[in-house]
Amino acid sequence: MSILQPYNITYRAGKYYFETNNSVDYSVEFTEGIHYFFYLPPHIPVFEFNVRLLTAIDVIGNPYDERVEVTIVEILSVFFENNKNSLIYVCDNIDKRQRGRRRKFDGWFKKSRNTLIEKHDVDFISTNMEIFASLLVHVQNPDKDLVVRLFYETYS
Amino acid sequence: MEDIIEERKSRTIDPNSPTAQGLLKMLYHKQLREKFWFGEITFEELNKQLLEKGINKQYEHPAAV
Repeated sequence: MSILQPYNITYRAGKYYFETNNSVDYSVEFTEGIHYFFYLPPHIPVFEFNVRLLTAIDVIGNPYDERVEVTIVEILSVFFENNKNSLIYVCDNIDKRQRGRRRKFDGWFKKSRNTLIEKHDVDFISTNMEIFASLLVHVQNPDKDLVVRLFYETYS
Repeated sequence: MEDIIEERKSRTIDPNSPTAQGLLKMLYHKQLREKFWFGEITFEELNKQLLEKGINKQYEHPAAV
């Protein structure tokens, strides 16, 4: 049984970059969530998580590459080395493939087998479109309960 | 007990709630950036539409998008 290694990751200007064996480039970034969630206390860092495919993929498509998942899981592990960090991922719905994106994100999380990270999911309907989002928070985050309650709208 | 914990980890929320509204802004920002990357909107239009949607973010130069 072989253990897949992450691709070589570089970090510049606030983003992580990696290139696959098929010459497909990705960027991964964490953007401050305060731009969207004005009620967040300023001392609690919550970030938006974005993965971007940088290479134009032709009609053959982008073949499944398990090392991409392994690499993204590695980047998430680095991000959560600071246990105060939390992140929110919202599934893009522009092509109505938000359910597929949720499944993929769920897969990354399960694959990480990281028992130090808790995942919380929400969904709602907006203009007849399903919206899915997840919060990842470190179990030892000193503000975990507050962040989770804010995410679920149960803070009072 | 496990069921209760699982239930707490996935919820349907009010679409008018602050979290839902923040998530919609996040989604809108993501889609605006895509439009900029594909040349469908200009850099100036991107910043203008971010402001119009109440997203407290302005890019200083195109390379930062």
